[in-house]
Amino acid sequence: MTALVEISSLRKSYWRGQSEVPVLADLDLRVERGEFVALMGPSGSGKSTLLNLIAGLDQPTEGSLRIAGHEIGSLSDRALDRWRNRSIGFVFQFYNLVPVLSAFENVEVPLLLWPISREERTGRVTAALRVVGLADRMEHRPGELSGGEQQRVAIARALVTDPLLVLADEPTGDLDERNADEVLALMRLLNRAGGKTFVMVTHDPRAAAQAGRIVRLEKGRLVDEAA
Amino acid sequence: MARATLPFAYAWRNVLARKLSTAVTLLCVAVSVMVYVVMVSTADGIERVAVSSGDPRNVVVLSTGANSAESSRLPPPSIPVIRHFPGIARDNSGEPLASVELLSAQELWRVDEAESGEGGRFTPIRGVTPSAFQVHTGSHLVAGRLPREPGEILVGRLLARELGGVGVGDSVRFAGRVHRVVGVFEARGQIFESEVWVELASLQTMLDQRDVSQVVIRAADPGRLPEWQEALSESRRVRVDVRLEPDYYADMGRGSRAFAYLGNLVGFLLGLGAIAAGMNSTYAALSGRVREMGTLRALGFGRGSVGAALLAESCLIGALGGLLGILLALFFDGFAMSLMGLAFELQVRPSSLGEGLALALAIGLVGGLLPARSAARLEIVDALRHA
Ligand SMILES: Nc1ncnc2c1ncn2[C@@H]1O[C@H](COP(=O)(O)OP(=O)(O)OP(=O)(O)O)[C@@H](O)[C@H]1O
Ligand SMILES: [Mg+2]
Repeated sequence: MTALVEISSLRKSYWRGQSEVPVLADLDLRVERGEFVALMGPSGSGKSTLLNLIAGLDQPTEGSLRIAGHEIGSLSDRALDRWRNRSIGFVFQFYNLVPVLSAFENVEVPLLLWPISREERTGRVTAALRVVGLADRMEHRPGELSGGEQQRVAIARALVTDPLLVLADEPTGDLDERNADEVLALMRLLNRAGGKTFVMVTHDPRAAAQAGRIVRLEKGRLVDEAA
Repeated sequence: MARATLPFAYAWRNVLARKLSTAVTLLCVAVSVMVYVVMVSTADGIERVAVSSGDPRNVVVLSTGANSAESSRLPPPSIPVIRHFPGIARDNSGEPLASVELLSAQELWRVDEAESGEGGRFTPIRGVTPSAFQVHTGSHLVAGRLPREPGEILVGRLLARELGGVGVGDSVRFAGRVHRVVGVFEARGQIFESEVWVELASLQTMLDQRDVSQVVIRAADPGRLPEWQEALSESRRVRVDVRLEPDYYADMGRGSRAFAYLGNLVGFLLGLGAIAAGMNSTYAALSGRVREMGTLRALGFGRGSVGAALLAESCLIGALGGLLGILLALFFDGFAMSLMGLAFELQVRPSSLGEGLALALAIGLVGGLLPARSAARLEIVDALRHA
C-alpha cells in the first residue's frame, strides 16, 4: 500500500522581481496513514511553505506531490478547492475562527459545501464538538471562548469532514502551557484512538515530543529524521 | 458544490459587526434614495396638478402670439366679441359661459409676517367674475362668500394650507395693501387651488389696467371643438390665439419634467457619493478580514464564493439604506409645496419607490464590485499570512 503523503524531488521557489528565491530544494518525504509527524526547524526554513504545499494551498515549482495516490500539483484551482474541503483538516496558530459565527456555525462551515441535509450536518457538527469537549459551548462566539477553547473549536472544524490528513501550523504557538497541553493531548488522542494522520509544524519540543516522528528542515532541506 | 455560498447570517452579522461604517454607508444610501424619490415626487405632484387642470369643453382665448396668460393682453373691445362668438355654451339664464380673467403674479405675505418683508410667496392672483365658478368645472366655495368690494379675496384650498391654514377672516398682504379673506374655494385639485381669486374690477383698479389676460369659454357642442377653435382663431373681428384648456395646463406641467431630470441627476450624483462610501466601507471590511477570507478559501470555498460573500454584504447595506430612504421619502407624500407660484402636493408613487430601491441596490452592487474582486483574487497563502 502506498504512503498517504509521497513527496519526491519537490522544489519550491518564490520570485522577487527577476531573482529566484529558493525555499524548498530537492525534498523527499513520506508520511504513512495514521502517523503523527512533527515538522521542526528554524524560522524561515520553509516549514509553513511545505505544509501549504501538502495542503494544496500553493503549487510546487517542481517535483511530485502525491496524496493518497493523487498527484495534487496538477489539479486545477477549482479541483484543489474541492479536494481541500474533502481531504484536509486545518489547524492554524491563531485559530482562524470566523468571529461573527458561533462555535457550532464555525464547525459547520466546511460542511456547507457538502450536499447533505441540515440534520446530517447538525449531527456531524455536534459529534465533532462533543469530541473536543465543547458540546456545552456551541452557541458561543469565538470572542466568548478562551484561546484553548477556540483552538479546540478549530480542531472540531478540522475533524468534521473526517479528512484524510490534518495539517497544523504551530497549533500551540499562541497558547499558554496548560492550554497547549490540552490541545496536544486532544490531537494525540485523535491520532492514537481515532487513527487520524497529523502533520504538525512546531517550535516547541514539548509539542514535538507528542509526535510519533520528528522531521527537521533547515534551509529548505530535510536534515535528519528522528524516531 | 464549490458553487455554494456562505449563509445569509454570515453577511448579515458582518454588516452588524461593523456598526459605524455600516451606519455611515446606510445613511449615504438612504439620503440619495430619499432625495431622488422626493424630487421625482415633486415632478409628479406638479404634473398631477397640471394634467388634472382644465375642462375638455373649454378653450382659453389669449391675445395673438401670447404663450401664457402673463404675456397676453386682450383690450376691452375684444371681450364682447369673444363672449358672443357663435357656438358658445350658455347657462340657464342665457348668459354665455365665459370667464373673463386678469392674471398677475404678486409677492404675498401673511399679515402676521408682513413686517419682516422677506419670504413673500410668488402667488398667482386671478381677477375673475362670478362666471369663473361656472366655467371652471369643479370650483366652488367651501367656506365664506364671494368678494363684494375691493380688499376682499378668496384663497384656494392648497394656498390656504401652504399659508399655514389661512381661513375666512384672516388677512394677507400683496400689491402694497392688506386683503381680507372672505372665502376659501376648492377646484378638484386643479391649478386654481394655489391661487388668490379677486373681483376682476378690483384687480384692474389695483393694477391700473383695463386690458384683461384671457377669456375662458365653453363650447356648446364639445364634439365640434376643433372646428370651433379654428373658427375663433381665424375670426376677422378679433386677433386671438385659442388653446384647448387641458392642453394649455398640460404644457405648463411639462416644465415639471425638468424636475424629474434634475431628480435623476441629483440622485445619480448622490448615488456616486454613496458608492464611494460603500466601496470604502467594503474595502475596510475586507482589509480587516483578509485572513478570514484565506481561511474560508483553505476550507474549500472558491474565489467566487468569498467575492460573493463580500458583495452580498455591500448589497445588503444598499438594500437596508434603500428601505430607510424610501421610508423617509414616504413622509413627504402629500407634503404641500409651492414652486414658482404653483402650489401642489408631493406625490410619492409606488413606481418612484421602486426606482429608489433599485438605485439603492445599484449603489450596493457597484460599491461592492471592486472589493469583491479583490477578495476573489487573493492568494490563499498570502491571505493566511496577513496580520
Ligand atoms: N509569498 C512569498 N514570497 C516570497 N518569499 C516567501 C513567500 N512565502 C515565504 N517566503 C519565504 O520563504 C521562506 C520560508 O518561509 P516559511 O513561512 O515556510 O518559513 P517557516 O519555516 O514556516 O518559518 P516560521 O517558523 O517563522 O513560521 C522565508 O524565507 C520566507 O521569507
Ligand atoms: Mg511558519
